[in-house]
Amino acid sequence: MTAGLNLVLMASAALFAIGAFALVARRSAIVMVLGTQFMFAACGIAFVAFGRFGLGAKNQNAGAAMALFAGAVAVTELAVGLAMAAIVYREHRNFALDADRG
Amino acid sequence: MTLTLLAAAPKGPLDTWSPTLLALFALLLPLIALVIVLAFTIDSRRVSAWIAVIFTLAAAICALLVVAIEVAHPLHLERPATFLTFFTGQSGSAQEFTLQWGVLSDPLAAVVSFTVTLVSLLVQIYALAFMRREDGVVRFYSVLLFATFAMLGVTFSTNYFEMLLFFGLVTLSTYLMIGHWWQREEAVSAASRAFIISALGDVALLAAVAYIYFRYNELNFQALTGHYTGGRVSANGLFVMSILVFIAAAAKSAQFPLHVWLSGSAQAPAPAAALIHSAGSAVCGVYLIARAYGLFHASPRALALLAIAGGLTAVLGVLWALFQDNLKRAIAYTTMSELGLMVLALGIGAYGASIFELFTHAWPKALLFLAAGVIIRELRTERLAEMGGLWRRLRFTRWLVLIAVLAGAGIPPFSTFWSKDTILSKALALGSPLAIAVITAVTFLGAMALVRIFALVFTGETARRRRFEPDRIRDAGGRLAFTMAVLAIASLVSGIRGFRGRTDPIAFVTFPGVSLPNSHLVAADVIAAAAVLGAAVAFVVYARRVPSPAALQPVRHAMGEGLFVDRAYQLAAVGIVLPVSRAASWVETRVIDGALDLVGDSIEFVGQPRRWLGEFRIRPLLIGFFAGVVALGAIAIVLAGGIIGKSG
Amino acid sequence: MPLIGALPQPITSTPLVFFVYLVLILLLGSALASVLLRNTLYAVGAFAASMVLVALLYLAIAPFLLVAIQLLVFTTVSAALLIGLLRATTGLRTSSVGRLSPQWIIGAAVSAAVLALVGVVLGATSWPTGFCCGIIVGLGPVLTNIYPVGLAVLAVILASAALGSGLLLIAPTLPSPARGGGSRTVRR
Repeated sequence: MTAGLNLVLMASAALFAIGAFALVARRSAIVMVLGTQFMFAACGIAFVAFGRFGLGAKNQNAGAAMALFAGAVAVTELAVGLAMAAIVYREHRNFALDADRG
Repeated sequence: MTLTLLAAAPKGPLDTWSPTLLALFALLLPLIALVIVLAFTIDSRRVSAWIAVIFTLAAAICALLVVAIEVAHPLHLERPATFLTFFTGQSGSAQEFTLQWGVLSDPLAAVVSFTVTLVSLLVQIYALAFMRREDGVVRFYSVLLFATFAMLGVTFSTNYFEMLLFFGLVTLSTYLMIGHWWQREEAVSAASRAFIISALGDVALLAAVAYIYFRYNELNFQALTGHYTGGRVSANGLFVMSILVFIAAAAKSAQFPLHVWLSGSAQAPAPAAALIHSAGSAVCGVYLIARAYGLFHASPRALALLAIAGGLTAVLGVLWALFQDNLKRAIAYTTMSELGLMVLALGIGAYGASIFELFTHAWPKALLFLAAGVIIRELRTERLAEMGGLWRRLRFTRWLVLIAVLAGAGIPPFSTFWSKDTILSKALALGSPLAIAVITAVTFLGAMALVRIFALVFTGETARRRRFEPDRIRDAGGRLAFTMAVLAIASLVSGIRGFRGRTDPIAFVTFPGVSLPNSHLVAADVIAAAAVLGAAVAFVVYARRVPSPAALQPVRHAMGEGLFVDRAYQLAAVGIVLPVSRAASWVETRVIDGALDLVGDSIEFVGQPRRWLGEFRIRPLLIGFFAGVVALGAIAIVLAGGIIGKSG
Repeated sequence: MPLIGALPQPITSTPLVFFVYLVLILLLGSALASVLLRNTLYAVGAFAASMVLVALLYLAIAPFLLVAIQLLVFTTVSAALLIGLLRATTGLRTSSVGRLSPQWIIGAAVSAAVLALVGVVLGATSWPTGFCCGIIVGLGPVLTNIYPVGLAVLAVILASAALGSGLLLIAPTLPSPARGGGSRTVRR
């Protein structure tokens, strides 16, 4: 049994799908933001996987560098999203974003 | 960033100390002091001032050591200057041009840097007492440190680009110094004028840098030394290059048509004015010409330009100095004349003499400005017509000013005599009657102007003015007197040539291919005679307050206003620049600001989710988004699969 | 600390393979839990757990520096921001998000589509491997020599995020809209 590129990429895709599901399906703003975080994490895993298994040893740590940058962007987006969630909370006293209301 | 020390000097007992390392320290110490003052001690006047003084003292010691090393090295005329490369920016392959930022230490740089640091140090010590009761003391010291750093940067530049950068810093520092008392409207306008003219010079230097790089693909001074005469650039091209460099130098050193800022520099506080005139912006221009002398030397027309412009500046400056009513402005015009003399000397080929003149002129000029500060403060007036009779009252300062005036006039054995003598020797060796006449006339008139100042201030009776008690005049004491005394000693001894037979200051700074003038006895006699005669005439005329005939009044007015050159500039500015700037401002307000406002408004709209969260339907949006991603991905897969399938 | 191979070989040592499988399963499980749980606080907890599991995955296939950053920075900053927001708003009580909505089905469909897409990619292509196997460069030099701008931006972003999360944690509760609304900084 080996653990190679395919396995990790499948896991990354699944994680991305879970994140997309959370973003689309849930009403709570915080959970939607969590969904985006999962998507970013999935991207990071994909980067690292390609770096480690994919295109050659010279790019191995370039993949990790890309994951690092993706993570930073994720944290930024988290901050912005949470700020918006706070505004929504201030108006409505909950985090719900309904389909009717938006 | 790589820090490499490239020492190309032969190993000897005095070579273990690298002059470039010391030069680097001298350059960085004022900057470090500035950072410390701004970051840590900005609230404490005394600590900031003392930090500035101590660091400048250290820088002066480093500069002095550099001079000593340069003097002591037996082969100092032939040794290539050492580099300290601490940044290398490369564009492309290894054969591409590398821009090296370094510190160049050779005799020229050593002399000028020592002058700069020592004058800066003395000025700062003077300001400890002079600016004690003022606001903005920390700002003043910060500006002085910044100016010292900028000047040292110019002095130690290795290539044209670095010099351009530091020229810009010198422009800024001059503006800050002149506009220090910004509450005064005249000071602000004088500072703006100085900035504009200096910046004009910087633009010219930028053009020169671009042109030189375009033709030679090299900007380093040392690397370019042989290239000018190589014939790659035509004579016209060389002349254009030298014109551009000269414009930059003229703006900084107040040569004839770009001189109008120098009289405004009298608005600066006395210590700052002393720095500007003796070791600041005024010196930068001459230094640039000396550094780029290979360029000028390769083009005879350029040398002629230098000589003509320098001569014109020298004559005009000293003529205008004779008709000034404002004390500091009178001294400023004599500086203009001396700078013209330096440029003239460079034009006729007296390279070492010109730098020596720079060196010897700095001390009496700085001393004059510092003493002017004391005089103005005690007499509470700046006008020469209201001064007089200080000989009895300022018992210590009177001797110092006397020494400064005699030294500046060129009376033997004081400092500038020796340098002017050498310049005239070179003119005699060339046999150019015009140059001889100009130098002699400038010496005569210069002596007149300086002694006029002395006579109007010290002899006669103190003019009675309302609410002014002449008996309350006190002489300068303590630190003020100490610094002025040091400068007086320097004015006395800095002309000494041949220290123990090892170093002739004229021969210390040389340029290959330019012959050293022998000191003619004739030249010495002529200079001495001219100076003494001018001094005597001025003393007789002004000490007795001989009134000038009324018919000459319009002439006096015209001369006093500098022949209205400044007024002409202002009219031209209003007529030409103002409409252009109005058009530009319309474009900026309507077009550029409009675009930026649009961006800002849209961001503001996005930043209020309350507004649009209630209007958008997020979920369908997200679903559509992901659907689009899937569709795009499918297309990409099909295409990529097709390509990969084709290539196997 | 597992060695990182010099060649793009799959991991073959059995304990390590089991470790990777375990981590992946736990990761997906905790991610699912995070998005399905009603209680927001528990969801955040599961999210933090998934981030830690991602770090463990990196332990196997990425440089150690990334593991450390993932653990120490991303996980903690994210958790701090989230918990801070929750504390400031709901006071860490049970979330009041309503019942299931029909959109769940559509959401599930979207996720399945994305998953299938990547499955197709994996199944249909074999990515070109191995250009030249050159020198192994550590992550630090890669960051500072090849991506220095990115590293600088990264540092700024992380610092801001850390600062923000700290501020949020110590900030008092947000004012309620019943008090008259409007931001505190607006003066009339």
